[in-house]
Amino acid sequence: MRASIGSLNRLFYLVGLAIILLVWEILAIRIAAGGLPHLNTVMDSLIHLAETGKLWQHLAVSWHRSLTGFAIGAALGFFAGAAAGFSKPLYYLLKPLIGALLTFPAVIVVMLAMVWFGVGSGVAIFITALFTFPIMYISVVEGVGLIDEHLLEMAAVYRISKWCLWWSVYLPALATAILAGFAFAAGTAFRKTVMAELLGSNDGVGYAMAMTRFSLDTAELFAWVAVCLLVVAGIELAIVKPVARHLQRWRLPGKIMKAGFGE
Amino acid sequence: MIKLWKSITIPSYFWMILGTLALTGLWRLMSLIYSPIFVPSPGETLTAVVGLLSSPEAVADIANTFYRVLLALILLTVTGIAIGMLAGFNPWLEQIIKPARDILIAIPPVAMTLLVIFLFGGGTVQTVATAVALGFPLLYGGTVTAMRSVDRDLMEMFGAFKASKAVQFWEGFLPAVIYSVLPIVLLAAGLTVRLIIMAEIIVGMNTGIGNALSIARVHLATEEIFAWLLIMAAAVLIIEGGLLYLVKRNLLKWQAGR
Repeated sequence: MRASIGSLNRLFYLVGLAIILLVWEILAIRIAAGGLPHLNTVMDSLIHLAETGKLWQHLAVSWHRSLTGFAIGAALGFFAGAAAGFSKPLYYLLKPLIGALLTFPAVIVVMLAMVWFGVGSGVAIFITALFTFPIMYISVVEGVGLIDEHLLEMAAVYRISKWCLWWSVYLPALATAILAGFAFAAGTAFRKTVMAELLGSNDGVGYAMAMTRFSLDTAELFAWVAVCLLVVAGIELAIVKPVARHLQRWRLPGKIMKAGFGE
Repeated sequence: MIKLWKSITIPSYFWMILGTLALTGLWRLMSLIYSPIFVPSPGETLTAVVGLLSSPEAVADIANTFYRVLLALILLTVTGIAIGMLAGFNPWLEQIIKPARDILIAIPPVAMTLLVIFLFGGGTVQTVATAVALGFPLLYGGTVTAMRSVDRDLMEMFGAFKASKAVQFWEGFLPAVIYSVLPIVLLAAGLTVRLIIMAEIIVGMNTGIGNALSIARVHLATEEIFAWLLIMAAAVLIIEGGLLYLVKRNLLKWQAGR
């Protein structure tokens, strides 16, 4: 019974996807002159990008930037979050900084970064790190909060060794938090990189998108959008979904949602 | 004496004020090291804030952006709740909408903006439409989740009173859903501000805060960019605070009315 509901849901999902493609195709026929390219034109454009090597070149640049920025932001967020999780004063001390990072529109910060770093990798890495940091920070602070007080008390009663305490009490709670933060920040990181590239870079997926505006090549823009969707879907299927399955009881707090959405 | 000292606990806002001061101090330090083109001092930035808030053009920019934010927020709230309720009642519809929602969540907002420009050109309508499309999944998803938590307890109660279907919906279900979606509207407000400014910059609007920022960047008026950052942060806090106040007041009224 359960399996049949699942497959029915999958069927409806595919129907929804088919409707989107169908509406697109009809619109493309209707407003052929208006700039909406046909599906096969977009596919051709995508294949062309892959064959000329443009796709891999820009994708590699963006991928590298988003990974670097993500690693820096996640590492800083982890250490700051762990420290703030164990120390209330530090938590409140950092609160204004985190609050500011969550309210600042990323585009404005991109503009500042363009003044600071000039055009190049610096802007994208900086922006990605800066907006990965609060996500990881909040996740880890919450993770420390999840540590079971009863287990700590029990450990004290039974005089469990420090090492054992870390291994069996702290680490599981923190690992949960780190995984949740990682999963949520991964998709965000790529989108932030693309945005930074679109405004202030001379290579990468974002730059390639911005260029289609001047060449007026709509099919290529759609091809790049498809690439972005594939990358995010890939991250989702490879990282987020498996993690979420393991962490069904973990609920992302609203603040993480806020950090994840929008620019 | 010692006892008195021990009973004093340092309040959390003391640390928050200290944190803010530390940030400002760090900022001042950076401004001493780097030239004002890179890091203007807090004083210069405050002067720029005052300058912007007293110049008619900047105030017009703020008004324009605010108008777009309000329009987008209202549209995405109404459509998000309406379609979310439809999907909440019909699980198959939820599955059909899901791919569209997944795409809207996954697509980089800048790419969405470019798509809108390509297909429909630039303008206020297009700027607002971009923000609505990108903010929609948040409200829609929130409504679907809210409906799952509302219907059981509430519907049972209404069923026990044998209220008509229309009364059940308008008096019971709808207010309950809207009430539990309100925190998400709050979240969406801050998001919409950021989306509209992004769209303004990329669309290349010649009004609004996005436009003012583009101009400031070209002129290397870094203190103005800093000033806009402060103004925007304050605006988001005021909008969220104001909405929160309205929500709380209406909540009290709503509860008193029951």
